[in-house]
Parts: sequence; structure tokens; C-alpha cells
Amino acid sequence: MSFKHEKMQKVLLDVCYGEMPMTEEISKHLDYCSECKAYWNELMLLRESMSGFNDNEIEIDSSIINSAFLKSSIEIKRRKNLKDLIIFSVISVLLLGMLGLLIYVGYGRSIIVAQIILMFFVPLSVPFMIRQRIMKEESL
Amino acid sequence: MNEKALLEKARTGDRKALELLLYDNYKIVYGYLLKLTVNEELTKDLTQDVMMKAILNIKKFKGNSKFSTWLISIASNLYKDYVRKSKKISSTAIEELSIKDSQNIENDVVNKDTVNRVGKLLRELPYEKRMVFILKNYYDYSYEEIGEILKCPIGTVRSRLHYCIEKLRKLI
Repeated sequence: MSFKHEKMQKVLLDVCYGEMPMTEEISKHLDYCSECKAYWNELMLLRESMSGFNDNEIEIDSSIINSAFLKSSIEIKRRKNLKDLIIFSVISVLLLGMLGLLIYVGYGRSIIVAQIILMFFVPLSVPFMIRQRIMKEESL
Repeated sequence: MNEKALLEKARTGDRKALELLLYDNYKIVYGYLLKLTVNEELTKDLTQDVMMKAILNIKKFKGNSKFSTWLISIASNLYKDYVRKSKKISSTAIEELSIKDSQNIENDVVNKDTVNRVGKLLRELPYEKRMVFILKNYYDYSYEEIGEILKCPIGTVRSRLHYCIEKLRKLI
């Protein structure tokens, strides 16, 4: 096949698939070049013989769409859990890091004392808080 | 309601609008994947994955292209991933192909024969080239659009289509 035919056949492919218009020049070439004409006819035949898969005949399976929604909601939950876990881990590491730093600087004893005080006094303040709440409710 | 309005609603989290969009484009996605895989079971799985990805990423879709084009591009990427993972696709299912045509039995047989014949021919093409051929031959996408869908230059799209035509000419 000569270079000219090869070039023309690439053009014909573009014309066949609507990428280029069928110009007069191409049309004239097809009239006198039997090789390109045969190629053009083959292209037409090929397009015709490759038809047959018609999307309109496909039935919509709603279970596929429904399960896609279901799966995506599970995926969204999974992503949210993962995000929460990452946030929790970062905050925990930061707090522990700060605590570690304070202990390293020399506040270890003070931290332990503060913790003991909190452990004793927070439960003791619960009845007081309940009483306050009851009084508030009664006044209403 | 037109596609643009539905898309805007879907982006704000309206499930009904998104569902409508997916129903409207189901046949295109399923049909494209069926031609690509020539395997009904795989097509169903991939269609579900495409829908799922679309649901999860609807907010990222800016609407620069048609919704169906976006779905086709998701489907192409998922199929590429599938091929890379499995390396070879089981050669079942040409016989299992079922495009339903309920007109009459004779019609059904003729249609199935055509689908089987075309399916066999399509399977002869390497998958990346097959994608280009399907998008051009059955969906009339332009070279530019195919390039965007498959993320490759227009020259590659043209040469892949040319390869497919030459291969099919020899086969037919």
C-alpha cells in the first residue's frame, strides 16, 4: 500500500466515525481509487457487522442500584469511623505527649497529687451537684 | 427535571435525585461494561461498583461533562483495575450472555447469535484498545472525549482505533 493510500485510509477512518466531513476531494478520490473505495466499503461493512449490542434492550436491575446505595452507606460509616479513630488517636497522642513533657520537666509529683485530689473530690461533689439540680428544678 | 437540576439536587444530598440519575444512565453503564467484559456476572459486579463510586463521589463531580460520560470514565478505570488485578479474565460466559429481547424466540436467537459473534470479535482486541473502539463505535464519543475519559492523548486514541479496525478487518 502506497503512502498516499495509507494516509487517505486514515482520513477515511475519521470520516467514517464522524471526526471529519466527507469533502468533495475525498469523494472524488473514492470515485477513481479502487483500493480506497474497497477500504471504505469494508469500513461500512465492519460498522454494520459490529452492530447488535443494543443498550435499549437491557433491563434495569433496580437491585444493583439499591445495593450500591446500601454498600455506599456502609462505606460512608466506615470512613466516618476511621476519621473518628484518627482524630481520637491524634488528640490522645497530643495529651499524652503534653503529660509526658510536664513529667519530664519535673511536674510529675504535682500531676500525681492533682490526680489524687481529683479522684477524691470529684465523687464527693456529686451529691452536692445533685442537690443543686433538685433545688433548681423545685424553684421552677 | 433535566440532568443539571438533578445533579445540583444530588450534590446537596438528595437521594431521590441521585437515584433518578443512576436509573437514567444504568443502561449506558451496563451496556458499556457488557461490551467490555463480555461477561454478564462481571458486568453486574462492575456496574454496582460504578454506581457505588458515583454515590460516594457525587460531590466531587463538577459537571464539566455529561453525567453518563463521568460514569463511563469511572467504569473504564474500574475495569482497568480489575484487569490489572486479575490479569486474566475467565473465558466463560460468552454463552451466558443474555440481552433480553422478548419479541419472539426466533428474534431472540438471532439477537443472541449476533451478540455472541460480536462479543467474540471484541474479545480479540486488547482491553485498552477495545475501550476506544467501543466508545467510538457504539457511543459516538469524539476522539477528544475518549482521550479525556481514558486519560490519553488524541493521537493514541486514533492509533488505537486504527489498530482495532485493522484487526477486525482481518477477523471479519
